[in-house]
Amino acid sequence: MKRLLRGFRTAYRVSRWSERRFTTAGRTVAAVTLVSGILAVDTTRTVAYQLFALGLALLACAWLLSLRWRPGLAVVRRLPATVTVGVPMRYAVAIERLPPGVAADFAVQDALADAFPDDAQFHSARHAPATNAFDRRVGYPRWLALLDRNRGARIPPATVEPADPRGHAEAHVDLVPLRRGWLRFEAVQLLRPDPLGLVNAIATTTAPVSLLALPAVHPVPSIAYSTGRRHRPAGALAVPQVGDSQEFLQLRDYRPGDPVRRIHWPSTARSGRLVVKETGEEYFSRVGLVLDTFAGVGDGALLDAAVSVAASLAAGLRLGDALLDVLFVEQRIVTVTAGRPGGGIDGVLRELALAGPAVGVDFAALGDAVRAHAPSCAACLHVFLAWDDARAALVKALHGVGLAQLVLVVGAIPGVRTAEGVPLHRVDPDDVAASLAGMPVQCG
Amino acid sequence: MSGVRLPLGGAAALFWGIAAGYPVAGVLLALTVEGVRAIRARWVFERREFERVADLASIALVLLLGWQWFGSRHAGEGILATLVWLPVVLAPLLVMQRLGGAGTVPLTAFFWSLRGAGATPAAQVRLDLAPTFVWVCLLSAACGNPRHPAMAFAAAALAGLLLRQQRVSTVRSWRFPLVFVAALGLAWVLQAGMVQLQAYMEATVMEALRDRLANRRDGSRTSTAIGELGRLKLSGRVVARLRGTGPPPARLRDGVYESFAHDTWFARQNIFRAVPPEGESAWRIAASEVSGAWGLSMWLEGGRGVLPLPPGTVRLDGLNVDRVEASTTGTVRAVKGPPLLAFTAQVSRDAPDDAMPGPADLGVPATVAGALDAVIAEAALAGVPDRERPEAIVAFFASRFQYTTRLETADGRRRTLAQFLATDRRGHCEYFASATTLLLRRMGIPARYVTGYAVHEWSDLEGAWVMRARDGHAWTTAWIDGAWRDVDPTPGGWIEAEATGAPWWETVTDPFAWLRYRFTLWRQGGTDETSSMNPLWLLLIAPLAGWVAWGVVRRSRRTDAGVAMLPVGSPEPGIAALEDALRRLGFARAAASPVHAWLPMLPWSDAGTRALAERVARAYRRWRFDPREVGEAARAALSADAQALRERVERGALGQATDGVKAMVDEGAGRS
Repeated sequence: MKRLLRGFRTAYRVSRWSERRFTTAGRTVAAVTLVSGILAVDTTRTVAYQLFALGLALLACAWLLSLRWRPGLAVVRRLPATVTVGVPMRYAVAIERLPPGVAADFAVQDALADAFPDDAQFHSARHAPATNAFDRRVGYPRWLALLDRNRGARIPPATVEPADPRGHAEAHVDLVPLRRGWLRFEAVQLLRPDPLGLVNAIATTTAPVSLLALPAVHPVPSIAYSTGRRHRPAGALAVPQVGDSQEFLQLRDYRPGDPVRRIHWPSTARSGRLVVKETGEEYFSRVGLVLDTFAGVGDGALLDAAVSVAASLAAGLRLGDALLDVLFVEQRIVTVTAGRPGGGIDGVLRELALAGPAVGVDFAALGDAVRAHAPSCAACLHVFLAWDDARAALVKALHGVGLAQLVLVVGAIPGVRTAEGVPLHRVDPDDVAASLAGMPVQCG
Repeated sequence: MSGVRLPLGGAAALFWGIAAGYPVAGVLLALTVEGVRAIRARWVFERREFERVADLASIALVLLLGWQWFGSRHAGEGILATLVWLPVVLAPLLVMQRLGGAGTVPLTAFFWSLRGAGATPAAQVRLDLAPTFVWVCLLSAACGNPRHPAMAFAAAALAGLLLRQQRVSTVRSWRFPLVFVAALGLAWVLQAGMVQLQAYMEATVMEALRDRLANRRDGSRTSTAIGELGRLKLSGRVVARLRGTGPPPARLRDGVYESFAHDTWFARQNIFRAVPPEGESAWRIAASEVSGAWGLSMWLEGGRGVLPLPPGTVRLDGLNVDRVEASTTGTVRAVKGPPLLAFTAQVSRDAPDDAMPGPADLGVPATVAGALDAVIAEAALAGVPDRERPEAIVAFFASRFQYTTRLETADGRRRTLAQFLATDRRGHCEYFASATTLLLRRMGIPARYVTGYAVHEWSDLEGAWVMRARDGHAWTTAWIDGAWRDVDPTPGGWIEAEATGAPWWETVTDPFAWLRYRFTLWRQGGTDETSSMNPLWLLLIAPLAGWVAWGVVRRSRRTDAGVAMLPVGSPEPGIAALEDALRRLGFARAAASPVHAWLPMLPWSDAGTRALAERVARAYRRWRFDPREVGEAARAALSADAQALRERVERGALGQATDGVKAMVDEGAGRS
């Protein structure tokens, strides 16, 4: 297996090198030169040696002319703050110090850091359906697909627009993020074909930068849940004036244990002693969203599907004035709150973009956290990676305290299981969008 | 990539038809691929449709390969014949591309590994087939083996036009023709070199094979190249060197054979006897009086072999081998020796002749008897006296036959000696020598077939006559008037004909061969007694020595630059004069005391002068450390300060110098 993967890596590196170093015409000439070189073994039988000599001479001259190129340009990427998996995006690569008004004779090739699939990842991917018999027997296309996914996107070369009078030009690069998380951009390469148009001279600008790709978001139907307001202690300073905002009661002297942020500094300054504001308690409608991150080794695609489901639910729920609490486990319990008083949904999507599998924690920890959180929630949506006794017990326990729930299971649901009257819906990890379109709209 | 705008596809198809010998097919193909451009309508072809057409083309290619394979003499011929038809196989896809709206062909049509549901992004790649079609036409045409130079020029022109059309428009246009012409020049050199390289490689391999098969190392037989087609390949490797004064022998002989069968000469009656050694490394072959000497050196492959010797060799001096054997026919071979033999062949005018002729020296194979009789009749040799017959045969060959190292026949079959005499009348020295030997025998004159080397090339570099593998020669020795007489029937000009096939790099490899020879000789501890140091050696050594010397000089310059404190054009800033003034007053600086440490420690009479001395010391130290960095202004300031200090010294700015003070000063300066 290791030898096979080493061979894949070598094949990929050679392929990428030839794609960048040679133009399409150059690759054709190289292929013809190679074939004619084989046929040129006997110079008396064919004149392929003449074609071989011509091809070799063309490539040699082109290569020679592409050896030294120092364009002396400044290259800057203009990236957005975030991108979303599956959503085509375009960013600009700005190039400075070009001759004004002249069309650039080079293309821009941006690159993301390669992260080669390891043994475990490739082994698990072997169970995935193959594209053809070559893929089934050898696996190189699947390895390439994994590499693309690990890398985060495939970036084609982009042409450069003519420079403006200040010598500034831009190249617009299109890409479609293939996975969530950080996309690590590496060096930007400028590829300039030689006068024969066969070999590219390459100028590399090292410009490492990272871009966060948010999980894929799909439309979800409007989900009905009973609104019940629960006590939210300590007020919400973010929105002081509207609706269920904090209600000012009085100023009083500081008592040990009061949060520092409650200190009323103008009064403190006037009186010379610490004075705090006292606010009334608040009541919000809260919805819990539980993300199961207990994925096994090689279940990265399953976890990604679950994250995508959670992100879709978070983005698609009509919260109104309600809050959304997203709970999941990495090495510890992570809770993120979104909603008008708790911050935008963007924060949740950022957390979900970086959510990894649970490590060193068992499902009971998540169950305990959810049970503890349940009293403040009006409804709870579960996104599970499996449907087993532990998860069923959690749903049953929450059902027992009268919490409205909806269970989405990403992947197969083995056997005949029930969810104590709670709607249970299977999400196909290979077609999350369609599965979400057909999900139940009523919490039970 | 932009499509091909000029009708290069059609032009390439026409070129292919002419070059491959199918002009009608070429015209039809050209009309097809260019004719579809006239159709305005466009169709939408799915990926699968391209794939199906490509599959059909592949099946057609396989069937064609099978057809050609079974109809050819060997697999290579079948493959080449199939490749010739590649443009026709590819044409349907090009037509589809031109009729399709996209103007490209999906890559999946050519790579089965990219096909399938959910294919990778590589499967989405599409290809403009038009340029590929042009290149395929050129490749297929090359497989048709068109040898006319016009074909090569046409192919180069097509390639150039294609590349020009594909060129990115932003590249400056004047560069393209310049670079393309340069590439054409390089291509011409490359292809010429490839032809010569192949000839050289074949010569080397064939030579090794022939040596091995002919068992030429022991002198018992020699296989001839009679019957072989194509070019007789012999390399330019130097196999022997001859030194001496006076005109050299025309030939060195290394084998004499009397029986001819199956294009091979045998020395069946050759009886080798050990030559008794005389002293450390001298071998006497015959007792005749020595009249001359030739220095010989040659490579002894495998530690044994026959020695090419001048005629009349009676003694070998300086031959460091275990054993020397000589046959009754004059062949001498060495057994168990070093890789390189260097010895002196003592020759005598009175050397005994080879063994008397026997019945075998009159034998003629029945298969060639008819052809011999026909030649005897044609040349009217029957009426010529015996002693004049050899010259008559030589004259007949010179007038009616032609020397060549290349034999081609329409039927591709091996030739025979009889065909050489009757119909071909072209051949190399082995044909002529064999035919002459058998002709003489047919007329009752005993004759033998002799092999060896022609001596004709003087090397200024080596100061010796050199014999290359291609100088290998064959001739006849005939028993005329009670003695063996050498007859060389090969028409004149064969040496020049052989030399025309010499590769251009021989002028480069010869000096290296010479170096290898000298090195091996030196390593073996031998001496090349008859050779003297040739001034042309300098041609080899001088560039090498010059290169080494330049490196040494350059390094020394670098070193000088590193330690030199005084840059060119920056004069010393007056410290030497100051030192002189101080020395005159009894304040000489010890050799180990740096100026910057010594100067401030002198017993200056006032604080101002001491401060000036300290400033001079600091500035001098800086200037001394990095004169380039200090700059001219600072140097001028230092010079002025040094002069001012010297003037103060001369006006008595120093206190009385006692021995104790001076000793303290020197000691302190030495420590600093």
